[in-house]
Amino acid sequence: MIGVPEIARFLQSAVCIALLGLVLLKFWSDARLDAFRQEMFIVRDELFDYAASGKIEFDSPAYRLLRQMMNGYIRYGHQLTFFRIALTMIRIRLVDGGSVQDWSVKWDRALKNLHEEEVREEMASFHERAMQCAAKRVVFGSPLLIVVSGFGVAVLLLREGWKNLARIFAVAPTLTFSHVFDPRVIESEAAATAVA
Amino acid sequence: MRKPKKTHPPPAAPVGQPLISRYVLGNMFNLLRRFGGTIVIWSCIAYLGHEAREVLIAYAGKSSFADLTFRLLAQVSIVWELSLTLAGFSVTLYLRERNLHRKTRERLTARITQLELKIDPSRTSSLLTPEGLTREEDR
Repeated sequence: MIGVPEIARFLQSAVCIALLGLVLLKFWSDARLDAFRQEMFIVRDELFDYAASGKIEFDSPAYRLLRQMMNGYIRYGHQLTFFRIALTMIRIRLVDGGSVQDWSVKWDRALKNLHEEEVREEMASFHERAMQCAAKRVVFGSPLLIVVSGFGVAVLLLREGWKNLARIFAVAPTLTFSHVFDPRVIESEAAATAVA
Repeated sequence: MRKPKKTHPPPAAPVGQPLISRYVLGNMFNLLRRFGGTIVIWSCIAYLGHEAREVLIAYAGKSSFADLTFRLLAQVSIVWELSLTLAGFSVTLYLRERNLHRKTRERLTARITQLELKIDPSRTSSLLTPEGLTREEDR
């Protein structure tokens, strides 16, 4: 026979689980999405300021492509989850019959067409920062990828030692992301959805 | 002069089965991608609800409702009440701050867009709402 203390404990646990579910699935998820978008807006604003300073033309394909990709990430940031990306990858393999990398091809070409080395490096750095934001969002939103990323950190620590600890923690999500998924496909998807 | 040889157009690519199956499969993946998470969450909630029902059924008829309520309330500890109150305050504060943040974004967005359009008339947008939220049609 179940006693009153057991029922009380059951009800307390049920209320706690319900509240925890609400916090994790709604508030925490919303806060993470806001933080991701905020971070991407910062990179996009800095890119705008860089172009406004006259270092690169606003009509330059490299600028336009990068902004297009960032707009896609911001607009569909809520879909940037392990579950959705995994399904997208499977769909591309099974239904579309291969990988879609339109954006990547155009980006490589646009980057090569930039004459100044300094501008090319700066644009590549903006691209890398946007990639890091996306990688962090996907990796830290999935318990499985957090574990994989933890292993990545351990491997990097063994290889590079304690001196580069800050760099290792910054690079780990991007490395995990690019090992699990093909980032070129994600970027192409993001860019395609930005204009859709 | 030799008459040019009549050429036949190449036979049309077989349409039908493979295309339909791809279309269906593609749509299935899209639906799963969109609603998969929601289905999992609601399934868990339904399962927990079912388990709670089982417990309550086992207890039904063994005690009066008033007696049970009284004894249940007597079991609630002060630590639990305090924890719940603190959590409630924290969530309320978070929601208040979040609303303020959204209002600030809404106030500043139009101005920033206008200023940026002066510098770059072909400026592209992320197409979020003025509050910085996902649009209904993009969900």
